[in-house]
Amino acid sequence: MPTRFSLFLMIAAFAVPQTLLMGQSDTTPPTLVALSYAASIDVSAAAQNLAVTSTITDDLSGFNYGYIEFTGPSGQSFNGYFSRTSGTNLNGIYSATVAFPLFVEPGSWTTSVFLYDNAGNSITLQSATLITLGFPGTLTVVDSNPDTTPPTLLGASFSPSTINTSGGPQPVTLSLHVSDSQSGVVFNFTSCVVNANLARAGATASEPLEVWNSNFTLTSGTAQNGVWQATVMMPQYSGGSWSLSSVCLSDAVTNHVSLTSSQLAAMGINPILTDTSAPADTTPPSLTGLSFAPTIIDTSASIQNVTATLSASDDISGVYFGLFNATYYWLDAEFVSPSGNQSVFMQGIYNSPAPIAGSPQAGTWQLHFQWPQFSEQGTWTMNYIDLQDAVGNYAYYTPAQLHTLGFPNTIVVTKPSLTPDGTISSAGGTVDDNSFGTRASVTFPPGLVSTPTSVSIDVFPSPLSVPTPTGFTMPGTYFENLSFNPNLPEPIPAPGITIVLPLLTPMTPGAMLSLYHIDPIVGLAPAMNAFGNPVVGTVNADGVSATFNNVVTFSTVVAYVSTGSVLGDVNGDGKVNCADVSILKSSFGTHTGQAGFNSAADLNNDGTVNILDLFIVSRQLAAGTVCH
Amino acid sequence: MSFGASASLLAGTISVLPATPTETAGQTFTLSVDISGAADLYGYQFDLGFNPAVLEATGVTEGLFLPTGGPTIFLPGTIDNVGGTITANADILNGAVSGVNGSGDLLDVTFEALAAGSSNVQLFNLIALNSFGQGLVETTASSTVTVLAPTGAAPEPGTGLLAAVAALGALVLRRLLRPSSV
Repeated sequence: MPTRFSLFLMIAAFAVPQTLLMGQSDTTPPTLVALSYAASIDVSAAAQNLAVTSTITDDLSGFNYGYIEFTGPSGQSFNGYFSRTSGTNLNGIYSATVAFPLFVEPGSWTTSVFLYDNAGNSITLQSATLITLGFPGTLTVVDSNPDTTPPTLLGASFSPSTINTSGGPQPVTLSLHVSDSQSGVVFNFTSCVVNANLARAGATASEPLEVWNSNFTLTSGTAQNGVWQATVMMPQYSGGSWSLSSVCLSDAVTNHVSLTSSQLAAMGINPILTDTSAPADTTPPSLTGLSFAPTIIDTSASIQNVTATLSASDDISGVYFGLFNATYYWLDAEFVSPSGNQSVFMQGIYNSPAPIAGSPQAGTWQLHFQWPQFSEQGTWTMNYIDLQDAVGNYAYYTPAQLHTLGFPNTIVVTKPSLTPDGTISSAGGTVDDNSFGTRASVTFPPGLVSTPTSVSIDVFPSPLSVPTPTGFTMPGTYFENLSFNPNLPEPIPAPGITIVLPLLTPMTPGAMLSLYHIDPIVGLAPAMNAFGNPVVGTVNADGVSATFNNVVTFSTVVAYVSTGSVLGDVNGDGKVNCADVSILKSSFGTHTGQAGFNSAADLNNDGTVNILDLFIVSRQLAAGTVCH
Repeated sequence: MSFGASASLLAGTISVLPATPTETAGQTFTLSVDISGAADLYGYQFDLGFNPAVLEATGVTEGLFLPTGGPTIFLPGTIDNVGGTITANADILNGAVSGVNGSGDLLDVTFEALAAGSSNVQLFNLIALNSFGQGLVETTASSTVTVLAPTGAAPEPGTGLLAAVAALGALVLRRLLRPSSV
């Protein structure tokens, strides 16, 4: 039993190195080093292009993209994206061109700069900040003939006004009669991302049908007074009464107006589209299954892909993930980093993937996420998942709801520094961690490697968010990543290597711990020794480290404190035999929350009874055992 | 450099065979799930997906390959002919023995061809383990089953595929404009 003083020393020894253990991780946004452009422009007689030059740096992942935006006194705005003219994405010279058309408003415009790096970090530098940093923060615009009035909506209509989509999607033309003085109406992304939204009467959990600017064309008149039309493909089974829930209009100098349904009604503009489809789909889809693979990734060397397998059902129109002609719906989901500053969206939403099993009414899909290199270390949480059907009914799942349903919603990003702590030759030897010393080391036997091999030992500052396996109380050691260059073949040939891990808190010398490793494919699993058995180690005499011998599978490792049960003993009778296999088989393939799920059979405690649990049991059976 | 010191272990290809069979509605036929290039394969688990409007699964049996390594624990999976899945098919060796190497038949699935059409039969949620419990990376190949109508029956109409390429930019822009908090 340590004295209070020695215990204090031990705790201090654990605490001090943590700041050294963070490793490479890009959590800072790019830096604006220089910025210049002309102090004023005059658009009285002609449109002007403003040339901008800047220098941008980034510490690790590199500058990805950014833009400069100028905002006029009433809110008119124009921007230009940076393009590199020399240097690298870590330190480069960039130019941007901002086009100012005729009729923009005069006065002092404010400047904003938006910068994003490849890891997803971003920064917005507003005018005051730019000035504080010594950069220009305003632009003087001269114009003797400005346009400061937004467009006016004079009328709207659907043609035809009655359809029946029970046999399939039906086209409908939406006409908007719009006027604007001077600069004229435009349909682009600058001010109005969506120009019109159609909502179904009485639908509470239904996304509006969105009509985008690219669908509108001028069919009569001029930009100053004309009729613009867009074709909307109404989805099958979209029965009900549809109306305009909002309209957004902009002119060429970005004067814009957004009209709500009540404002439209007050203007006497309230066209109705009636779909007589029977049946009509008014029920949102339902998420019935969700899993991710892998659940632990390392982005220190490259981007990493994660596949989501999702099962869902919808009663009539079916689950829909992609675009639908002029309008669109999608399944969307977002993972957010521990700090909240980085996020990852689902990939491949542009083409609705076909189900890999079943049908849109009851199917299974595989979807993809991609983490940038140097992503923030730690546990990323799925912020939401938005599941929709083909007519826009949606089900929005929060993290709490996903948890209640028993679905996973986290991905762990590890970030080893990969900084070598030493080199081992063909003669073998020991390498100690530069931070933890002898409490974190690796020992190679002679002949294991034929060429000098560098060893990188990275002790993670905090435990990874992986479930503690069944039969164990908690991690007894830090998580530690071991990297070798050149890589070693796995499993390592007998007799394997010896690993020493630092304990999280002091333990009694001689106490036993079970070693686990994080497999890049299957996740947390028992580490195996050269004899084909799970590795069990003991706490060293110092009480602050534990030694594990003959290890042949490793990568990221951690050791757990046992509750005293036998590994693989599902029924708790102290033995591992066919009775345990029988129990495990009866709940095989089930997940947390499902009927038949047996937590005792979920030996790795990942929420699913599967082959990883069965491996733990089958490996403990005597060779030749036949279980019926 | 890979995750830690652990490189992903490439270990063969798992295929649903034959790759492009043609059947007639009403017929019963069998597809096999075969592995080639296996290295120390100790156990596996996967799900199978198919189009339930075209096929109906009627049974799953263990193949001959894994039992060459010793006694096994085989789970034939759960058939769902509504959702078009056979989930949690699994097979694993017993005891501290080595896995099997080479090529062979992992399991066989019997289907009934229901109606004219086409169905992919593909693996997903695959987990393959070696005798050290390490995950093996397997390449997978699906089968595309074509079912013909019985002689004299009219073929079913195909399904059209709609695309909306024009909205892609708009979609990206909407994401860029999405508020950071939802």
